[in-house]
Amino acid sequence: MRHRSLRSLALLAVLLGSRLSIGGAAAADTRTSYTFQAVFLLAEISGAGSLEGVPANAQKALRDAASFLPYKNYRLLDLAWIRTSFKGSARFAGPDGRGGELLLTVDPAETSKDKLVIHELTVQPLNVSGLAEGRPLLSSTFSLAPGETVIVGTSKLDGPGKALVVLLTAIP
Amino acid sequence: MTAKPPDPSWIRALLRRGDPALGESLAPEEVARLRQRLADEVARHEAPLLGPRRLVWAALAAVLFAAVVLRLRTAAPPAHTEPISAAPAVLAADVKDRQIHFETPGGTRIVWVLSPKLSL
Repeated sequence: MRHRSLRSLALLAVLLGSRLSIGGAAAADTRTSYTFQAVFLLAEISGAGSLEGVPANAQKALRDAASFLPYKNYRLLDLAWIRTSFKGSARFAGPDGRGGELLLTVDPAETSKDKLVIHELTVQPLNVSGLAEGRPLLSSTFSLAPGETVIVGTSKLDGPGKALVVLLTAIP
Repeated sequence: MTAKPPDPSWIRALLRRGDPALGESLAPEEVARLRQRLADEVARHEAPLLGPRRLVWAALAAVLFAAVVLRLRTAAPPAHTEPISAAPAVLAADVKDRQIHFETPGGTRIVWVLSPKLSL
């Protein structure tokens, strides 16, 4: 009798343990991670530009969009890689020594194998202490396909002058 | 020695020879009728636009119109001296970013944010 109850308890423990491990594995499987490449450029309407150091995929996208943008000069500020399943961020060296932070939120509910939905992409300027300062430079929502490069830029409303350009690529 | 001016009669004769309507002419009474009609039309158009009586009425109407306009202007409320300036300032502060999404023929998608307060 005593042996039987001990065996039942052991069986229950084994069953519970196996269920928990299966559940844990299932939860881990659903959280797919996505990798993004972010290229930060400063665009200006005058001067001679150089795309030195800019990855080939970003250069291709920039050349394709060049005729649609009023800028002649692009200068590489920084490069970043972000791997996340939901929220990710990367700090970059901004113009004039000021830093910035790219914050990216993937919408897991809307994201599929063929389409990554960026629920929010924000570029936040940072002060010298590395703390968020002022309002975000840009904030947007869009989607992109694996392997696609989307150009996200911001400039002043009353004239192009300078622009901050982020080339975001979803790495397949 | 001066050159003798050409005799115009031979030029006239030359032109007459080439005139396709040579030999065709209107009857004298028809010519007279057309001439009279032309004279009447000229006289009608040369008549003054406004006769003396009409001119007086037009002047009176103009004076009356000017008086009414003057009266309306003086009766209007004084110009708004309240600082409307507050409104544009608020509007300027409320101007939000504009965002444009477009795609190049090559397939590259561009998301552009136009910000009124951006400083780079």
